[in-house]
Amino acid sequence: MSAASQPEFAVPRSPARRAAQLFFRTPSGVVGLALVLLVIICAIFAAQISPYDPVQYLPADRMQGPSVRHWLGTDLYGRDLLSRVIYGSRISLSVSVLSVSFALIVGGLLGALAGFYLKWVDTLIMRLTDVLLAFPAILLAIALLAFLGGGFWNLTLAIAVAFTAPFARVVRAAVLRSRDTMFVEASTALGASDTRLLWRHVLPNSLGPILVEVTLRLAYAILGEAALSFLGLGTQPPAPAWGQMIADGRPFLELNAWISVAPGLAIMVTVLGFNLLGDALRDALDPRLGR
Amino acid sequence: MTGGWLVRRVLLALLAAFGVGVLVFTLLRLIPGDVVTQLIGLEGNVSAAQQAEMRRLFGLDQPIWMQFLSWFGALLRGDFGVSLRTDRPVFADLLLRFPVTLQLSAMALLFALLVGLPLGILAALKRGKAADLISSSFVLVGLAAPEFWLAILLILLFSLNLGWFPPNGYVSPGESLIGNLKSLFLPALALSFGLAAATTRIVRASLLDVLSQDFIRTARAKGLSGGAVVIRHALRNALIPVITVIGLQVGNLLGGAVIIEQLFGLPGIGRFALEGINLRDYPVVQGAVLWIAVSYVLVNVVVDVLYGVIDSRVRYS
Repeated sequence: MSAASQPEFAVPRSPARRAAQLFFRTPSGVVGLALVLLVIICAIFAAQISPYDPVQYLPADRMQGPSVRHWLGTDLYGRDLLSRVIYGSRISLSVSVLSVSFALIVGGLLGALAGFYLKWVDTLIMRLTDVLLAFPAILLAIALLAFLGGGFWNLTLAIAVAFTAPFARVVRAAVLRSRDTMFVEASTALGASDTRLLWRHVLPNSLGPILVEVTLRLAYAILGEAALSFLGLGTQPPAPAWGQMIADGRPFLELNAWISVAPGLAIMVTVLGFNLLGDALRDALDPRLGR
Repeated sequence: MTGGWLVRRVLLALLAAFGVGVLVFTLLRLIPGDVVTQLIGLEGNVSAAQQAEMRRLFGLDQPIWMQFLSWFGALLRGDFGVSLRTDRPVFADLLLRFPVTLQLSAMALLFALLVGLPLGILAALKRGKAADLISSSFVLVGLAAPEFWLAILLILLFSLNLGWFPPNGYVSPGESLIGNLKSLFLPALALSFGLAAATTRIVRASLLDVLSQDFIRTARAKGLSGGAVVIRHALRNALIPVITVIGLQVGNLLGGAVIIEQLFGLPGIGRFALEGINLRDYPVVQGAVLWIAVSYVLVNVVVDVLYGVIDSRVRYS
């Protein structure tokens, strides 16, 4: 029997395959995945796709609107906006992926320890996250950058620190949930060590909510990176960071609004992609549907 | 029993605020050089003996924990130090600037509710229709677009093209109340987008959830009109998750305000912090950061207490 003629309720046995099937039935999730892939492709193949060098001055082409020659127009120095927007995806994606990975590793480890050992370990780690969560995330990053100084790595570190506490919370909650299941109890009864329990049973069963959190956090990281670059606290010019480009265009809104509008559209499309993807993943992995 | 969770919640908030103090103090010590080298950077040549005397005056020769205690004690007395640039007490400037941030955030919250509540209700009642589609598109854009970019689009449309509002600058309510509202209108609108989108989304989801429950069918079966069912039964029950989500988001307005104040040149706390950062005026940075963090903690405590009042099922253990 072909897959197409299968009745709606025929569910594959593997939870991962079931989730994948549910996911691909959600049109918004597929759109999100496509947008995210588009941005990733732009970032990887920026050099091949971009019509111009993103930092090259073309004095003869200054402050142009969209045209056949420059699809999104040019900025004050005649730099091609489309090329700058394409290259900007590299900064945006690398800062967000690096900072979210760092936050996931450190926050995840703290959360797993807190949820797994409870007692004083839990209290200590949770009070630490209270302190980090006492700041609006963007302010925490601004404060860190104020003292560390700007630039790619400090920017990444600042966003990573701001996101560590939320990850610790999510992973702790996920670990607490799977900790109470029968199979963990059974493994404990069979004499499995703590390390084995954590790595073989508890963490793999907490992957769903963590994956969703990672996807949605990437969207926040992109917005955060853009905001910090907009304030001049991110990568330094002439690097084509989207937030910085929006700030660059601010004095020239009446002359050529595209300088600010184009990078903003790029941010929106990227964040939209991650949001749609994250929401669809959450629905597909929803524990209420059984796993 | 009602008092217990409240006391615990407030104690945890105080502990977090203390932790914020420790964190900011630590960050200040991470900067290369100390207050003395920073001042000298401004004042010119100072001999080594004078430097040592200055360090003694600032208490920098004391052990680190003593320094922390006297620093923290001064904070509790409202002594946030003196700006390295203007020689004005930081606390006085904070008191002067906070009302601007507060008014901006309050107006943004108001706009978000004025847009989010009706749009969410409309989307739930007209599920799958054009109104629902428009509302979902608004939600997707509102959650994905950076507020400072939306602000620029608003400036482009309402200031530069239509000339309805000033593109930047601040008018105090003492000067002109209308001028004050006009100067904060676009900033508040830009700041409200994210919260408006989040509100719309949760109102829609929560109302749809309630509308599918048995007691609504009962109310309909009793012969109540559609409007009465929605207003008297569904909305009241749908509002609890709505308040939760709005409460969680309100504190974030303070973070967004930093960027919006900078963009529109509003003299609020956020811009104060950024000015301090650009001029390396650390007492200002420290004061503004502490102020916003403590306000944020306070907002969250108030929101938590409100849940307890509104929904007696919510009691923090």
